[in-house]
Amino acid sequence: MRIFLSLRFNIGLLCALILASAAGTFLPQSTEDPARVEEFIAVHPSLGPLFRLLGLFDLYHSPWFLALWAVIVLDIALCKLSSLPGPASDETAEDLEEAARSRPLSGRWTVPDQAKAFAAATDLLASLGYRVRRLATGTMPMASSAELHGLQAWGSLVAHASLVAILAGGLLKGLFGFHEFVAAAEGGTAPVTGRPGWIIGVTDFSVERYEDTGANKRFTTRLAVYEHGRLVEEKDIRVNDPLSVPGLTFYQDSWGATGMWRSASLAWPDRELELSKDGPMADPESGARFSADLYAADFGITADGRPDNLTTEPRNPALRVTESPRKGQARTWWLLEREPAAAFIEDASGVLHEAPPPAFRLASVDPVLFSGVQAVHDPGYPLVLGGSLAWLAGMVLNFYLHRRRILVVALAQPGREARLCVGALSSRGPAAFKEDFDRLIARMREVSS
Amino acid sequence: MMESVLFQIASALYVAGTGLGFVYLYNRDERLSRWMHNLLAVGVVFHLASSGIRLKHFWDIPENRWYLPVNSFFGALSAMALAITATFVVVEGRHRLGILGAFVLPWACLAALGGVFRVHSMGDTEIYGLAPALQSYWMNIHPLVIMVAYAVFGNAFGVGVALLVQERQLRSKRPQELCYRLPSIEELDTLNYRLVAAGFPVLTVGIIMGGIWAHNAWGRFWGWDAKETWSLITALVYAVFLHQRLVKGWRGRKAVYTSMLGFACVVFTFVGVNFLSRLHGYLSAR
Repeated sequence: MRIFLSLRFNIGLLCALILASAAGTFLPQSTEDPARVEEFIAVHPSLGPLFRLLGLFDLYHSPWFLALWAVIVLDIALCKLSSLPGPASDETAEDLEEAARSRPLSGRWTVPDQAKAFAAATDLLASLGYRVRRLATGTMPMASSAELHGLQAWGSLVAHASLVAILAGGLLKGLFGFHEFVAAAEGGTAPVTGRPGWIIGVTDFSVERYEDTGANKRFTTRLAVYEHGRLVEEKDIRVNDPLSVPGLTFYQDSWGATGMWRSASLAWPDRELELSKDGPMADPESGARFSADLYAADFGITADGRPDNLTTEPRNPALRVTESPRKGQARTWWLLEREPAAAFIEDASGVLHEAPPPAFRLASVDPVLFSGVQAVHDPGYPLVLGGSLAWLAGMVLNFYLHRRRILVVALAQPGREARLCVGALSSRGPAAFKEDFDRLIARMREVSS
Repeated sequence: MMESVLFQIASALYVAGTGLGFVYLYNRDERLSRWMHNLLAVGVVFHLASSGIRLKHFWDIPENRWYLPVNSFFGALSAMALAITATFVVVEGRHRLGILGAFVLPWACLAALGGVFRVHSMGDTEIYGLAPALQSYWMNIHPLVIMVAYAVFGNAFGVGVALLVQERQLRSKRPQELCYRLPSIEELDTLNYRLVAAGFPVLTVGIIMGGIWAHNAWGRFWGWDAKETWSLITALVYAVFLHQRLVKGWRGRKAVYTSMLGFACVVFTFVGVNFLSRLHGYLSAR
């Protein structure tokens, strides 16, 4: 228990969190790029397996990293419970005058009348907005504790408690929520495996791009959500504009090409031929028959010479077209929409061979796109949101409020003049309050004499 | 074109103002401090004019309408230079600490010159259409809040350097005149703390806003993206500073080193992480 209250231990925990978090940004993470993890292991055959064993390739979800967070939460809870704000110890001190004098800022002077001076001093504090509380000291001496912006004392507690709430929100999502990527082709449906019986349907999908950079401008999915075949909700969703149904929210995440196509055409210098998905189409001029099957959105070639689709974005669209001439052998072409001068022939074993371009080219191809949606059930989010607001409140209280506590003690001295003793504490340190305190003492002297 | 010309004039004025700040370190002539202030103020005016033109061109793209143009590295550098200078002008104006110009303003100059370099290397001021995820009202809040925090930390770093210089002067057997012109170690220490204490809540609230935005966009509050992670690391380093200062009473050099480490994290988060982050990579913002 004592170790949790030690500042050195707390700082050690924070440093461990800093180092672990930083390590995860330099090492490849399997959740982001599994291929890079495998590459790292291949390049570092001795370190790689060790790192894998330590969970460094999925660092932020590794048991030891989660355990570190758990210890931090426990540490915060214990530290804050042991230091709940309460009355200052000197307010209950037997020797109140000594308590006032020992404060970092203090003043002491004689007054003609103990009761009048005490009342004037406390009235002045009250008029300045201080919350004045008479200390139960009997009749002698008279003492009051005055406080301005006392809420500041709760700032640290609120801020730390809010951190626990935010982390608890994350834990709730981990335990009872789910986060699932669901992709459905245009006009198609896909199940939400985390919610049996629920499916999404992409009724329509559209994408717009900036002309100058080719970057995504906007993509919209007409999304329908079904529960056991019953339509629950339908809406156009975009990034930043999700669809929510009770207990589940669907966020627009990504899009890409499915590998299927809707329509395509071949062109000769003097004619065009529309291809069909249902079967080969004959070119009336040459008598050859043409059919197409595979679509690659971002055509590439693997190291062993086979066709590859590098990404799902249509950066280098290509179509596999089979040409069956009236006489001779059929040939399988890969034709690139944006590079008509390039063409490849695929042999029976699936290997590509560069070939002079045929007499025809791929004039157009309209791919079937898919819409990627994140289906999320996050029961912890309200806690995270509430914790965030509490954090904001805690920070404002802690750093932007200036808590000042003043102890006023009036003593009657037999046979001599009475004495007024004032001591002050400031949440920002004595230097930040000194000027104001000196002015306050000057006014107190004025009103008490 | 006009935008980049005005920006370069503003940058030149910042550099000149910083130069005067350095001269003022060794020369008591108060006119130098006034001129530094005036040059910075005129620089800010030119910078604002440049930003106004940038905003107009940015808003010519319908998807960008009503959003701030900080989705590119140039835009971020420009905003950062403006934020650091403006923060310095405010702090300097309140505390009459023109002497700190030489310590704080180099960061504004670095950001501004980085912007000039970026314009020359890219050939334009990088006005692009916003990606779908950035078309949100959070675009006007989250980056701005984070940049204000960074600017405040930049000022704290400069104050920390001044404190180290002052401490060195006091330890030397023959302190130079600079020793008598810099504020006392106590004042610099308090200012360093107050700047960090002002910046820390702003940074953490900015990070939380980013989390809320990410939840609205993709359904997750936190994704351990490199930028998110490094901004958390930055906040943790400053949290260490604040705990050591408030609980253990750290003062002077130790506290300044921690605060400086925090600013090193800020710089890495702002520049270095662009090479690591997928979501926040300005360098691949096209």
